[in-house]
Amino acid sequence: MVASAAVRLFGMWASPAVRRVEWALKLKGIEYEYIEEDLSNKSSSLLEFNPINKQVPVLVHNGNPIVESLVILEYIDETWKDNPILPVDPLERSKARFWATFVDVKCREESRKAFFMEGEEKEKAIENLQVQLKALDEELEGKKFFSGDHIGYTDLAVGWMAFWLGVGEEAAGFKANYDLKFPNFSRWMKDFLAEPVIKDNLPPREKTVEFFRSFKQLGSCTKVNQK
Amino acid sequence: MTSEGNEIKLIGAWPSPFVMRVRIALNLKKLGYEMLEETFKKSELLLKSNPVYKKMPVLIHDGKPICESMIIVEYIDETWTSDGASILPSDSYDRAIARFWTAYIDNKIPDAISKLRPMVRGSVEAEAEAEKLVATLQVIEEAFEKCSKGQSFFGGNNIGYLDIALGSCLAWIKALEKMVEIKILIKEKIPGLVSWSERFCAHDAVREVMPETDKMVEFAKVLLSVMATTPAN
Repeated sequence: MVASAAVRLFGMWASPAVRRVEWALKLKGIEYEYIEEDLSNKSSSLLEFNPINKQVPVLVHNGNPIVESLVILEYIDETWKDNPILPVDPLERSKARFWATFVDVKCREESRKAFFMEGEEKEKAIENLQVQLKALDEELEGKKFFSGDHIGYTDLAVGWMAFWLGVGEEAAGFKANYDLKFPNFSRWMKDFLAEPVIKDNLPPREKTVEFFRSFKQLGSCTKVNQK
Repeated sequence: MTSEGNEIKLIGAWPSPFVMRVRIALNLKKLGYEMLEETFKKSELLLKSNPVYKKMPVLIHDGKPICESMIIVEYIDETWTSDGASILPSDSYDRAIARFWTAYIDNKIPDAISKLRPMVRGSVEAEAEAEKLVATLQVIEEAFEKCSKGQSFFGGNNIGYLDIALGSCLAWIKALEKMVEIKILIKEKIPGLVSWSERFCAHDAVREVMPETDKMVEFAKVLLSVMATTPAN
């Protein structure tokens, strides 16, 4: 086990990208020191470690900062070899990365629009999100998790949708209707949230809904971090 | 891993920086491949091989498609490990740095290029947009100093992942300088990157796949007229 001071994680309790990194650290059994950031009053450490984006999560390993949650996941997998989260085969790795970036770039974009916008733009975003969910649903055909029988990199990457999509829907008043239309995805959401490492590492739901509700009311497009 | 008997096809088009990335990676590994040149009308094969994005490049290796340019570059590096040079750094921290900056580049540069492309030459708008792009490159200049550690490329003494990510954008950057009458590769502001860009374009793995500026300018005119008459996809 690594001494806790060697691994530090700067985060924010409501941020899905931060949880993503915590899930990976816990799956690997890596001890770490967690530092909660007030994003309205960022610490000098955070700004020093991430001067470019000034966002969380930031993983600091032996004094070296790593930024961008998917980059952090790959770093974690390469540095601590037990319980690998990425597959070994290069073709399978390319597919894992493909779905991770699809969700991080495309699904996140449409979810943000569905969350922040109103009227026609909101409707269009929900439509686009459903097309994306269909693709994810098809990818899950015949599989328990994206990564197979156990959760892995892709599940951790898509994981925010299992919890925060519902939170966003409740906070912003829309429905993507995945339970009706996308049975594989809906099943995956439940199975993913039931995994011990995930279940024990989620923010309190009501508090998170409230947070995002006021976030939306602020009308701000500042990301809570979503890197 | 042996590269003999492996069938490699690349769906792409010569002007695309994303396609160029893959071609540079294949050249670094000294791999032969069949180029399937796309036109403005997307081929059935492209639509079938990349149903999610319907975009090039798509690498087809022994019949299996791999999509997204930098994911393909990484796939090439992980599959052909004993052929040619290593594309990603060997140290995991250096890899994280390379991936971070690649994401930064992809977040900023393609959009900047798209914004500049239709602008009026010498306009105030174009000057302002060019300044923003130069500011972005100034941030990347600092990264270059750190990553190269005094050597020729981000990857050290040979081109690597991050060189490919940024270098592939040079064809459009140079074309825009000509078309829109703006300055981007300004020696006084980004001296490291300007010298790096010359070395990159002259590299064996890059030379034959980096289109000439005049050819890009001609293509840009065709592209702009096609975009003006086609609904956005």
